[in-house]
Amino acid sequence: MDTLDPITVEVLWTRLISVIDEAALALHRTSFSTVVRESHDYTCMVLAPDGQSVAQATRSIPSFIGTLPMSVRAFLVKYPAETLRPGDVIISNDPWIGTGHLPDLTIAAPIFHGATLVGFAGAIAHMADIGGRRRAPDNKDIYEEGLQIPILKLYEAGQRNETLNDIIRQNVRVPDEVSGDIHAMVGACQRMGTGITDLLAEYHMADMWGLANRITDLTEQAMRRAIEQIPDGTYDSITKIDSFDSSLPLEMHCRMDVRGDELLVDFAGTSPQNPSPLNSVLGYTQAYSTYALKCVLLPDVPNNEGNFRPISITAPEGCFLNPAYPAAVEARATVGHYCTSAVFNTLAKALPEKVPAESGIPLHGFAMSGWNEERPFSTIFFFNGGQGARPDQDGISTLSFPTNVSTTPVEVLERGVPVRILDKSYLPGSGGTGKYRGGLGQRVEMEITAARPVTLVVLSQRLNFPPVGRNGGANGSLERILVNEREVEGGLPFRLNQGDVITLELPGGGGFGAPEERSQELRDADIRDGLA
Amino acid sequence: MPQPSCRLAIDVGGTFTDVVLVDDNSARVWFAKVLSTPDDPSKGSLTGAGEILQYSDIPSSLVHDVVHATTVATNAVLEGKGARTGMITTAGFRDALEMGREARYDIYDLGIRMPSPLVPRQRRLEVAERIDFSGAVRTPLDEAQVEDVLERLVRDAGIQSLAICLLHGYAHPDHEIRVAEIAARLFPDLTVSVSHQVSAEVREFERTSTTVVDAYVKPLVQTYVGRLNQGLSDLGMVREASMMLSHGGIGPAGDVADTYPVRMIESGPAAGAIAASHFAREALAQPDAIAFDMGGTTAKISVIRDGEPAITHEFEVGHVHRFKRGSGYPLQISAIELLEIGAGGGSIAHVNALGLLNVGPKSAGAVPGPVCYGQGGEQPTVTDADLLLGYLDPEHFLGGDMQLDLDAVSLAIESGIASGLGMSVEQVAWGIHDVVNESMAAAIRAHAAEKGIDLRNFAMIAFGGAGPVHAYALARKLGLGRLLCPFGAGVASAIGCLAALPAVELVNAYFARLDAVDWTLVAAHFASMRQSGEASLAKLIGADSRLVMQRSIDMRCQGQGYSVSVPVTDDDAEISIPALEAGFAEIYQGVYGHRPPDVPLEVVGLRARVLNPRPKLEIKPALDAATQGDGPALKGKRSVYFEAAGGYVETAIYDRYRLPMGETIQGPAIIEERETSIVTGPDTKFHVDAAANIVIDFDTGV
Repeated sequence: MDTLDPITVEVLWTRLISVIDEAALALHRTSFSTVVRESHDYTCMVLAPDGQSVAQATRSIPSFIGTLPMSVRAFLVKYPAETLRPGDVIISNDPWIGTGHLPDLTIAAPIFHGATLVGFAGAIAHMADIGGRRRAPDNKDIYEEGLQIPILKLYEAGQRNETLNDIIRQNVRVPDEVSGDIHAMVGACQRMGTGITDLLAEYHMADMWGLANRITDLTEQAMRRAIEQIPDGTYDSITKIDSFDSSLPLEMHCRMDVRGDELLVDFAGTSPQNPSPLNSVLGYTQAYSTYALKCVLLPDVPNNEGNFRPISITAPEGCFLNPAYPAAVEARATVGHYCTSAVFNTLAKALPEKVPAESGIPLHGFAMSGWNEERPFSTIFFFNGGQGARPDQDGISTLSFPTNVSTTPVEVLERGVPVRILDKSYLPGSGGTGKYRGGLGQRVEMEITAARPVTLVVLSQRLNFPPVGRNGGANGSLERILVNEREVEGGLPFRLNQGDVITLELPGGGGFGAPEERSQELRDADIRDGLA
Repeated sequence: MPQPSCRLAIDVGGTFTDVVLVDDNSARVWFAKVLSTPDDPSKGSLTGAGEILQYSDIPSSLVHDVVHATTVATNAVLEGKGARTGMITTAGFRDALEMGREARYDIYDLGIRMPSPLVPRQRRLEVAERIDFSGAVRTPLDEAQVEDVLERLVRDAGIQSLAICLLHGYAHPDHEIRVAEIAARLFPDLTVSVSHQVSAEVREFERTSTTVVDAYVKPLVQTYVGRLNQGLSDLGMVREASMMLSHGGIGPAGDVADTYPVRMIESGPAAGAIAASHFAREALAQPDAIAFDMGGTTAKISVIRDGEPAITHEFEVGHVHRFKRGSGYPLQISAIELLEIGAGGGSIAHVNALGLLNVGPKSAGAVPGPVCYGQGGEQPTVTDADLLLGYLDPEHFLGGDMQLDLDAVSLAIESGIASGLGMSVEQVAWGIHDVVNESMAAAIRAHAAEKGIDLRNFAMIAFGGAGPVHAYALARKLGLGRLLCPFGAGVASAIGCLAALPAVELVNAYFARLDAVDWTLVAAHFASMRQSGEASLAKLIGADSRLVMQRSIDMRCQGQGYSVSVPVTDDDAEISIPALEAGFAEIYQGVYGHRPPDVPLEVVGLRARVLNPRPKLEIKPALDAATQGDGPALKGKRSVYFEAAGGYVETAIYDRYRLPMGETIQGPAIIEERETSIVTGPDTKFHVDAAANIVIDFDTGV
């Protein structure tokens, strides 16, 4: 069945994604880590025998795009295809071949149809714990960040590797949850394997190559057509962001070369590797850069390797977007999310009418620990800034981007953590003005109710560099942190006592187009609703 | 004078209002269909009720119950025609309604849109007050400010309806109650919805959203129910109407309208699912089924396990994006779980940017409609493909009321799609049928995974205009063994109204490790749930009725976020830890596979459903002159496309109303009825069962 007609391809492609979505749902519902459940910090994927991605779960988050194929290719170097047997499961959390930090485990299981290796089922999920000094801004290298699992077999022909299992359990603070999550990931891979072999049998196909190649070729062609719409040329931008030391900002230099149907992004000139965990490994840098391109160029086509073939993302080794081992990397999201900004800021020069203004990224929130009455607690919760204005409409206020993390309800938060939220409202005027206004950020005012002092780290950014507007639209607002009404800097942990009030003002998105062009109707609505 | 033994059901749909009258003594049943009257839906309802009483010659005094299902509340939300609504909330939280959970429902779409809040920001006002989660008053309610805010909302903003949603009001409603009292004193004509009465559950956004929808539809629903009850009384009925609720139970219509009308928002679809459950219980030895209702623009799916529809406690209405979760208004109330897919007979086929055949999400709707209707539609639709494949009869669509244009369809498919793809018109027609089925199958598979069911053990129950046309191929894709096309499918929701039971759903949170459960406390919880369920049902059916309680314990592996409901008997003495462990392991295995080793189990909740097990609904079809008339069942033959046969084959066409009961017939076949055609392939056999349902069995062993 080498020549699949356009109807069969559509039917099989839909079926393939439904097989994966099914497995992903099972993983979601059997997981133990709240990061998986609440933040959807996981993915499932089916890959061809050579490691190219064929299809992935609909709800995957951007950071895992492209990293699983890289992992499986590394797995294949250590365990060549001809040595694999049914029931094998390979595991690793090496940030440099995976998702960029240790809490994410990547596993893959070969899929056999009869005696033939027809592909891999892969899964990634964020564990509740991986040991180490969690989220410490002063971690200097990866050894302080937790347990490193090299490429190993977690299962060998169906038999669990008990040695590895014991080592993992001994090194994490919550062994039951971590084993449970690994168990759920293995279950998801088995489900995908069964789904794929059922599909092959039903359609009398010997392997997935015919389908995989058609799907990726069609996607690649569509991406190439989309790139052709960009005027050829070289475009560049510099995006500045905060480090943990406000006197030492980081610079992202992003150059984009567009030649016909190919596109190259290079981060040469970007600030050097950071001595803190603010480092994004190349795979993570590539994932968010490609994600930004896909959102603008080809949002409707399901994701697979075909998207990446015409695109190349490079960054010189030793910069904070391609740090060298053994750099600390746990806070890679805080800087890596900005790859979308860097790409938007550059692409906007080529496609000024298509690229939205910058959003109030990245994730903002509080990591807190201490005592809640007589029990110790340790928690992290998030709040979002405003979305950048779009070319044809205002940005949405308080919206997670580029990741997709839900906020915890205040009523749930207050039941579990010794705090009281006094205010959680839109911040009027925070969205950059323009023909279309940036989405608003928010103001969060929180009182500490614990009897004993608590330790609180603000996940802060944008204290000095606002989300930029586009095409004459104004910038969004800066973030501000206040303790008892006094403005302070983020970065280092605070000790706060009962009755202390910490306030976080999150940035709104940038505006799009000249403010004079804003319609009277939209201006009136802003005034009526008190948003301007 | 005989004892009243008749019950009447009225289901108001978008186009038709269906009416069913049953005499529970004789099981005699009458059906009627009248046009709906969207401007005032009570008119259509009363016309239908009047007609069926006249036609059946049953005096209204013999009707002791009228059960009603209606889309009046849903439509108000979908069309933005609800009341001008205002909101009062805790200082600092006016934006909770609009902020939502801050997540995106589509990760690639930068142009994503969110539903605009039903109460705009300038009508969401705050008052100083604060009760914390433990019930301690941190800031007393500023009553003068409440009065001031009410003045502004009513006099300046002109609101007709008010939502009151204060932080932690789900557990500590004192301030909410006080605000409601002040509103009632100052503005007695204002309708008021209070969050702890509408949805007493934690999570401020979801509860506020639910309360706001409630307030938004309340004035409209009250007016509507008032007119309906007045009209029924004019017809001589003594009892006021009962209302079908979203969770599949029924309650007094007037009470529902006055207290929490949001609970009837999925009234119509819930009635359809209840009907399917009824058919499943009556016709299937093991009543596990997928209810599949496919109409012109959407398909609705519900899962029936052991004769009962699945219930959810959170769902959405008013989606702005293709029924995608996250793009609607969340509601935190019990409802029958419905999967809605934007696929119907009117879905338009096209070639996408990749050169592949796609179907939907655009629909030709009623105007211009499919190409074959000849009303100006130019893009081929699912119905057009079904016609070309021989599934529909061009001469006898809608019982012959409409002629279908086959040539126009061939032309449209050829020029619009087939020539571009380099394929034949027939290949493309089958492709359209297959692609739309695959997208429905994908949605059903994901839904089944979420519910943790093995589809191969399920039957399918098909209704709706396009349901029986697509059910055979869809069931085949999903690997189901049996397909049921019930008698009375054309008025399924109305039948569901008659099959529904007065029922109350209760849940109590209780957290403990399984080995540390305080079983005395659990028994006390269940006892109080029984009491509260019985008290609430007494209002509907009298205190002396015999009620039963179904109980289950929600359990999970310690640390997981989702639980599994393990049924337990209604006898506290019989609950044991080993039995619960075994019950959990069995259900978990069926849903997700092996449970994780080394992780202890915990209890997270206690559930009970108190219901009145009144005699089951029995209806005897085939009594009417329209059924089982004279003449042969076989109407003729025509060429029909079946994948299992590798193309077009001569296929027998039967008249459903003339098929004899009991006899087994080999497929392929088309069985025509007035509202639809049942398609069944060469790999099936079918028969008509004693209740006039058509039962299709797939040949086993490939």
